[in-house]
Amino acid sequence: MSGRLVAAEGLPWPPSVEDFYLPDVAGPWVTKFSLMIWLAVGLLIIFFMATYRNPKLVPSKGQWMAESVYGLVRDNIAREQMGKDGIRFAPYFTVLFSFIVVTNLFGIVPGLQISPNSHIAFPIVLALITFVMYLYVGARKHGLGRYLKQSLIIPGVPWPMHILLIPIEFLQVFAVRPVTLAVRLFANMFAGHLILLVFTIGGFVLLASDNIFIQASSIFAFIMAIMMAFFEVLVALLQAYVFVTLSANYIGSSLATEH
Amino acid sequence: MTVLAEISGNVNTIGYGLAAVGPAIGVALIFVAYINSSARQPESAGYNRTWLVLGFALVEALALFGLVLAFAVS
Amino acid sequence: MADNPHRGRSDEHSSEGVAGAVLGYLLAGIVMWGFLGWLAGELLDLPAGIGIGVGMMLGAAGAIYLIMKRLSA
Repeated sequence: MSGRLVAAEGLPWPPSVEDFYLPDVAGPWVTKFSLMIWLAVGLLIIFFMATYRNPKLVPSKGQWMAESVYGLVRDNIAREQMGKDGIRFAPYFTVLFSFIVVTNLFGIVPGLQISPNSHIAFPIVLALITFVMYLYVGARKHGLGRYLKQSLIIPGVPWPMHILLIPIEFLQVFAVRPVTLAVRLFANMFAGHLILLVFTIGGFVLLASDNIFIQASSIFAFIMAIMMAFFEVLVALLQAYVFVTLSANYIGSSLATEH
Repeated sequence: MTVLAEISGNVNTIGYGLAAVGPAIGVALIFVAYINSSARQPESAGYNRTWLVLGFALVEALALFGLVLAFAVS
Repeated sequence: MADNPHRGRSDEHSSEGVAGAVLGYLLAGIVMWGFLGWLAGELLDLPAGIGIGVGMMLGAAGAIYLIMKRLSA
């Protein structure tokens, strides 16, 4: 046994990569992540269908919840970032927001215990949707040439500066924006998962010790793990909000007319 | 000698961690100053925002130098 | 926030947007010009480190200029 794995020995459940592959559900390509994504999609569809089955003027409790999620996204994100044009995009942002919230919260649901957004593939796809959307929206509103000119060339700059500035703008629009969008969500969820794992496994390793004082100190690791689980709720909501806000900001900036 | 734990990887990671300390404190000081001044004089918030963005950018550039050099230096 | 007169003005950049944009521009500037500087250093056989250093300085300067132009006008 190499020294690297000594710490994880003697645990009842050392988590490993095999945990992602469920035993023979429908073949090797149905992983834990894909089941969780279907679960999230199903939950959202059922929630919004059930609460909007027969909307009333005086809303019931479920309808009120659905309406306040939509209202939050429409007023605090879409309208705040994009002005009046944002109302058109509010349904998409609502779906995006509630999908990211639900999948992020899977990170602390017992039994699921990991957010699909801790897998870089899922944030990449979500960021790609935003990326394609803001390019498409900008190109359709202004025309492709004018959109590129508007987003790459800054008015009122002496011409030699353009040599310096155009590559920067190009990288910003075509690489940095989608990459930071994806990496921010991925890194936050992955780091949260690792923190929970470190404190929980640390607690079990301390508990497995043969010294009574070391065993007693494992209580701090477990307290920390529980506190971090509540902190993860905050991070999950905040990261969903930030992701949707930045998406709205990017789409809004490609809709904006000449600054 | 028994090995209990070992770390493998690149020292650049530690270097970037150290390089990020200074800019982190700097960014914190800049935002503290901005929040203080705009709480005392809310009407100056718009005027000070220019200097907030400039100072934030100047300080953050140092942290990003560290980030890029951590990848670039081999 | 009913007393905030700036709320809902679409031409005003929000604070999250500004912070993200500043970071993005700086990263883009430093990475892009650092890469171009490294490329120039390799092609022109400059001593190691000169090209990437000058490129990163140029990129940071350009990015800060761009930020001041774009975000505080």
